[in-house]
Amino acid sequence: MTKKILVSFYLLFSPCVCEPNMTNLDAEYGYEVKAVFIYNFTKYINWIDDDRSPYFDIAVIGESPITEPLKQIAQKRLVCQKKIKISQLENADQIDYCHIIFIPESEKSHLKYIVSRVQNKNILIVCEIKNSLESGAMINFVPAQDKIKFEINLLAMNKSSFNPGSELLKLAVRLID
Amino acid sequence: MKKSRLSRFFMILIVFTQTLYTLYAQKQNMDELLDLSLEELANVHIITTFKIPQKIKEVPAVIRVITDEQIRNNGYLTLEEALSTLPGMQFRNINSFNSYVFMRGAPSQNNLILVLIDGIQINELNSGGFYGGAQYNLSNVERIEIVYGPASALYGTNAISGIINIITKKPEKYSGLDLNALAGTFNTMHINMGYGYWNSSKKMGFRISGSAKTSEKADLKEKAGDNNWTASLENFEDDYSVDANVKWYKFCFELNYLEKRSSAATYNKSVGTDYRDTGTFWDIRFFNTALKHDTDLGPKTVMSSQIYYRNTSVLDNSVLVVTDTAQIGYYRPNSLFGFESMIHYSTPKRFDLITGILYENENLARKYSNTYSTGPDIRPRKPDEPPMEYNTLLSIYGQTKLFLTPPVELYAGARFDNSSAYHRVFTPRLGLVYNKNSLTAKLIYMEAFRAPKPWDYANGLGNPLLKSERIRSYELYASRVLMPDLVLNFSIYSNRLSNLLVKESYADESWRWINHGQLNTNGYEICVEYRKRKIRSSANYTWNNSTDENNRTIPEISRHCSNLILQYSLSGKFHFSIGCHYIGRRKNTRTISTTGSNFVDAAFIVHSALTYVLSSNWEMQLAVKNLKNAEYYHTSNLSPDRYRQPQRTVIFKAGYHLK
Repeated sequence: MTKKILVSFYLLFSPCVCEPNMTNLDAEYGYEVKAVFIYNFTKYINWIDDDRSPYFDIAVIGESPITEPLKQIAQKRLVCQKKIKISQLENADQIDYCHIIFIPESEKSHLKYIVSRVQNKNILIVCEIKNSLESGAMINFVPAQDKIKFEINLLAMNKSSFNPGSELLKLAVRLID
Repeated sequence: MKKSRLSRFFMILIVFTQTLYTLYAQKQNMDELLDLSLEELANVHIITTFKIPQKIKEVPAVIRVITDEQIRNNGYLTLEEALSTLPGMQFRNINSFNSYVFMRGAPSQNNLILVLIDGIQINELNSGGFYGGAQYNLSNVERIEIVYGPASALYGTNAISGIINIITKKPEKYSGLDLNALAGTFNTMHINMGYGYWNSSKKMGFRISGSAKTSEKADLKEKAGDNNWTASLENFEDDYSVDANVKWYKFCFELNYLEKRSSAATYNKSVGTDYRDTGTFWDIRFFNTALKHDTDLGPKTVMSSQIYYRNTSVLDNSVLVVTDTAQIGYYRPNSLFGFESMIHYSTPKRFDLITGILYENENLARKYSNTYSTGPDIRPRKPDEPPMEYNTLLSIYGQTKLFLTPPVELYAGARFDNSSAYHRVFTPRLGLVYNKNSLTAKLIYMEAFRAPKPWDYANGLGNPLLKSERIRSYELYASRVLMPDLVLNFSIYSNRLSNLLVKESYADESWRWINHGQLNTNGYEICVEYRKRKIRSSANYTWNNSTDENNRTIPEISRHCSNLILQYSLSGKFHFSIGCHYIGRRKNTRTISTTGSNFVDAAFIVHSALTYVLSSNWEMQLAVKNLKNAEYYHTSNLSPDRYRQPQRTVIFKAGYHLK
């Protein structure tokens, strides 16, 4: 019996051992949630109609596990009737134009520089860095017990001509206005 | 014959899953998250039972979750009903002031499982056992997290078979007014009300919920109850509970009050004995209150602290037993004050450390106190307070997570307890967790202990040399997403519980507790979950072999049990749920006089519920438990040879919600 169980166990789970790069189902759960948050944010923000890009561009600075779930969303959803394009940039100097920029915790030391590069360019700056709103970030993810919440810098958003919907503001755990 | 059927089933399952894998493994699963609103997304939770919020797949243990949706749609009324859908759960329901849960093949008086409400233990202090029943306010439960396997490295004594953490609804997510009322057969009536208020700008709010329940549970009179009791049997349970949660910035005040008043007549057989089955009354109160606070010590460090008070007294109006000559009053008070502070340091993708210190001061009855009345119809006077005993416990614990090489994480944890009652105990745990693509695998080594309670040292002739029961456990777990809506998980475990506390009796009828023998449990659990918009279903099968040190089968445990739960939603208005439960034949602790057999037969039970959502405010539910009206029994270790389980029970519920 024990032998049968072991053989069965091996057979059930062996495919994944053979094909390590098979799917991307197991991207960080927290980053999956953050990626869906970012997609949802687009519904509550007035995007300026422009022809600079045929895509809705989301850029991620540096390496972050959020890139993969964002790419998954890009395959399934549109924003403003545009396909979503995800770019992973090595540093802030590569930023040309995008609708949203995500700055991960690993880029904390470059935060002020990155913000200075994208300020006043109608780019929504989303971070996961503590106190980043004070450095000019517009939306910042914060852990709240067993959930992921966000805070908003309405002043910075307004400066870039973003007028977030009340639904979005209502859910923010901290609001700078 | 049975083995060959089992093997065939297993091989078919393998072929099935391999085929599904080939067809669907390339697809990705993001749809459910994308279907959530922003508000729902903000309430997506990560598991909390392991002291800090973590994803289930990252925790070095097997964890299963029962959600409030499952509780509501399946019409669960008791904690055991909710647990009965999970793999590895067996029961001894004596339809009295308690019922017993056997997790992964370990029969007990509920003292091998820790039950927590919002992270604070609710186990009875004197015995260390939790109480089964309807006293838990399930209408105010957000989810129940069940951790399988020993967990003393974080939670100390009694976390042998596992942990059940009941997470109550919080004001941030559950605001507005809820009102539910239900009525059903066996004079079952419940009413509960909850109200939550949350001010997000001020980060403050509160939620309070209360419930009152009554039920006669089953017809156990005369032949219906296996001829254990007379036609005058009293068999009732009344439960009252209040949960309160107040939050202000980083402070949180919590209160849980549970009171269970029930008959205790089914504890003893009354037919042919001098016990009577009227007049018993068991009144136990569980009171937990805690003040919790979180502090950010730096960008990577959070300190969480709590002070708490617990009281789980059997009140002095209890009458445990009525005999032909007297009613016997019973009183067992106790209380505990505790403080715990924990620091969580985390460097993403590198290092993670939890370390904590805990101090508890408990005041326990050294022995319960009794009074005797002068006749079977005369209430006894209230017993005096028994001699009390103070004990202190100082514990330190730590658990670290090292990111060895992606995607492998190593967990190592240990706890050191220094108790004035059971002295020093060191408990380690070790785990390897692999997370890559659609596969999660865990290899876990765990230890745990159950310390003797103060009265175990003193009961009977007494034995001051008693040692803790200790368990060593090895487990291999794997979970695989076979297709976006289909998940399969599998667990193989091997546990050895040694130094068992057993009664040693002498010719002059004196006795004492001694450490003797061991319990070996080996088994596997296989679960399949399928969720797609209108359908939510899960099926599980458990094979477990429990033996003693001489390889003899342990009574009361079946080798096979299986569950199938199917929920179907129609246009968001109707929710239909059906649950099928199978438990195999179990060896009884003695020969059953009505059948002449040493075994309790296998049983197949079906429960169902139909919920109709009238509007965003109103919903109604019709639930039928034991739909087939099957006559089935649980084993016994008391004077009745076996315990008849409730007949078909029909429940009608109406619910109102005002946001």
